[in-house]
Amino acid sequence: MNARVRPHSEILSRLTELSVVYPRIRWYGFGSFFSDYRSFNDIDLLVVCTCDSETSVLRSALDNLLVAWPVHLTIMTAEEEAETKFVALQRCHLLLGPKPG
Amino acid sequence: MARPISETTAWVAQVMREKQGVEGVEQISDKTIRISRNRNAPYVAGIISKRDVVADDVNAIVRENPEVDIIINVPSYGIWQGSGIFAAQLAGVAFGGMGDLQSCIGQEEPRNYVKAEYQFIERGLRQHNRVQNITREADRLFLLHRNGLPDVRVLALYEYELTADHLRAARDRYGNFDLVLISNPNGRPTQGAVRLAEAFGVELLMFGELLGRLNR
Repeated sequence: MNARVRPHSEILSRLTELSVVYPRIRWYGFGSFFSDYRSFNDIDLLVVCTCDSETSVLRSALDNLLVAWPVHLTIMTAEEEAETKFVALQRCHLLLGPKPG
Repeated sequence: MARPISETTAWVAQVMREKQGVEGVEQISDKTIRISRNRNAPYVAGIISKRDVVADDVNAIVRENPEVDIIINVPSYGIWQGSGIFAAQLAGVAFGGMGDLQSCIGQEEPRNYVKAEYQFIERGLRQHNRVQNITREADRLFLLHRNGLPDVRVLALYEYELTADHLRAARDRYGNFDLVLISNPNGRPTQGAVRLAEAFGVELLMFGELLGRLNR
């Protein structure tokens, strides 16, 4: 079992729980943890929320993961994502949530 | 339930075994690993997994394992508080996170390691004519004492896209600050971050802008 397995399964498990409560939120992984696991140092996650107020709620909901693993969390509103084109430029993998229209 | 530190240490050892340049990793205690390298002598890392790292955390590791070269805090979200950094400096050990532990693979003397980003910031600030002294309040938080001007608190955030959420989280975790240095030279704030900074009364600056700002 490589070092990626345990954090990956814990993270996906938590995101899956939250995606049921917040079905309109998109959850992405990017960076070396999701491509070449041998070279990763932290676990890059992107969460795209529908509005500002969701961003604070989500950061709080992910707190346990943030203190357990080297997660580098970026939370954006859909407006911020459209402005930065972060998903395309960082080659993010959609983990959970609706495919963007 | 929180994961026991020995499990976190075992996981870090597993991660490091897969790195280029590493010959082997031995877990020598609940909180320490010895990393053997293809080039250079082995180095010993102390492992912490906390929200905030303070002097007691550092001293506990150094007391149990005087051969430690670097102490890392595993959560990227964790903060090295000023007392923790000072304790590490007093003990003559480096500090950082997972990325820094990997960076030490190629360092001849891991004990002397300093994250490149922090080196750059500290050197630039110390060389500034207006900066008399710097209090390192936390890993990313610098209180600058200026000649003939009020103190100013600068938070360095290394983000490619600095979002409103990053700024809110920084305020929650680091408390008050006057200026934000976007320390990623390719970084920029989103419009949401710009609006929030204005509401907070905080300025967002790249490094060159910060140097100019410190004169007034």
